[in-house]
Amino acid sequence: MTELTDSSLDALFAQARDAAPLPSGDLMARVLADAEGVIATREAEEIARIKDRQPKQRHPVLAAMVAALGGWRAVAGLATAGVAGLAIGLGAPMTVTTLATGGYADSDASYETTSYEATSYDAGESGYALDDLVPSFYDLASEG
Amino acid sequence: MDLPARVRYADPVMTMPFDALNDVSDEALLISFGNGDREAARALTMRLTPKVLGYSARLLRDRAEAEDVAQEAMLRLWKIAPEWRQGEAQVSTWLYRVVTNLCTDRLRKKRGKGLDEIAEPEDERPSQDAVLMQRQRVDALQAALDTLPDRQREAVVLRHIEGLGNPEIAEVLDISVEAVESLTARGKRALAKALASQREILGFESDGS
Repeated sequence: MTELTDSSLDALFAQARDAAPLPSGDLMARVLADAEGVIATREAEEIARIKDRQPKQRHPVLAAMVAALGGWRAVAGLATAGVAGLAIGLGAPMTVTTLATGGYADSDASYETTSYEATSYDAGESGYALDDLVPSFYDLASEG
Repeated sequence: MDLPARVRYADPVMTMPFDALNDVSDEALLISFGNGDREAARALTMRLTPKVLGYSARLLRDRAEAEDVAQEAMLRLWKIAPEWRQGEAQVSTWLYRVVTNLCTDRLRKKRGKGLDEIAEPEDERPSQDAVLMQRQRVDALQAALDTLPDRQREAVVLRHIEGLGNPEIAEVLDISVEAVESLTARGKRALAKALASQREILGFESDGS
C-alpha cells in the first residue's frame, strides 16, 4: 500500500480549509453578549472606584479629638514636639542633667580660680563647657 | 448611559463607520475594546470567532463542544483586554494557544470516559455528487487527523489548514521551531499513510505514485 502523495494531501488540506465550519449566528451572539457583559462589569467597577476615591468620612470620635486640639496642624506640631522630646531623652541625658543641675552652679567658683584665657576658650562667660551642650551618645552605647 | 465622563473615553473608534475597522489591527481593536469600545468588540467577534471555531472544530470534531470552546476562548480574550501588553504577542497567536489548551483539556477528559463516546466518522458512501464527494474527503481527512497524537494534530492543523508559519506555531504550542518542523513532518507522513487505504473514496486513484 502506497502513501498519498504530498500534492494530493495538499489538495485535501485546501479543501478542508474551504470547508471550515462557519460560526452560527447564535455563537456570534453569545460571544458578543460576553463582550458586553465584560464591558458592563468593568464600567461598574470603574464607577465604584471613582466613588471610592471621594474623601472618606473619618471616625466621629477621632474627628472630634483632632478638632478639640485645634485641627490637624496643631496635631502635627504636637507630634513633632513629642518626637523631639523622645530624641532628647534618649540621646542626651547627661547634657540635660548638666544643664539642669550642676554646671551653672559650679561655674561661679571655677570662674575665679582658672585663668582668663582658659575660661574664655573652655567655657566662655557661662559655666558650661562646650561638650555639655553637645548631645552625647555614649550613654546609649554603654547602657545597651 | 448615565456614566461619568471619565468612563466614556473610547470615542475615536466608536464614531467611525463599521467598514473603517477593517484596516485596524487586531491589537488596536483589542486595546480599544479594553477601553470600553463596543464597536471594537463587534469587529473582533466578526474577525476572530470564525478562526477560533474553525481550529477548535478540527481538534474536537464535536460541533457543540467546539462552539463552547470558541466562546470560552473569546471570553478570555475579552477579560484580558485591559491588561493586554502591546507588541508582546499577536492576538491570533494568543487565541490559538488558548484554544489549543482548552481542547487538550476537553480531549483529556473525554479520553477518561473512553474512546467509544467520540463520534464515528461517517460511512463511506460512493456518490457522484461533487459536494458530497468533497465532504467525504474532508471527513476522511478529519478522521485521519483524529488518529494522530494531540501535538502532531495541532501542529498539522495550524500549519496546513490554518496556514500559520512555523515560528508562530512554535509560539502557540510553546515548543521550538525545530520541534514544530518535526511534528508537522511526522504528522503529514502519518496522515498520508492513514489515508492511503481510502484513495478510491478520495478520488486520488490516478495519483501515479
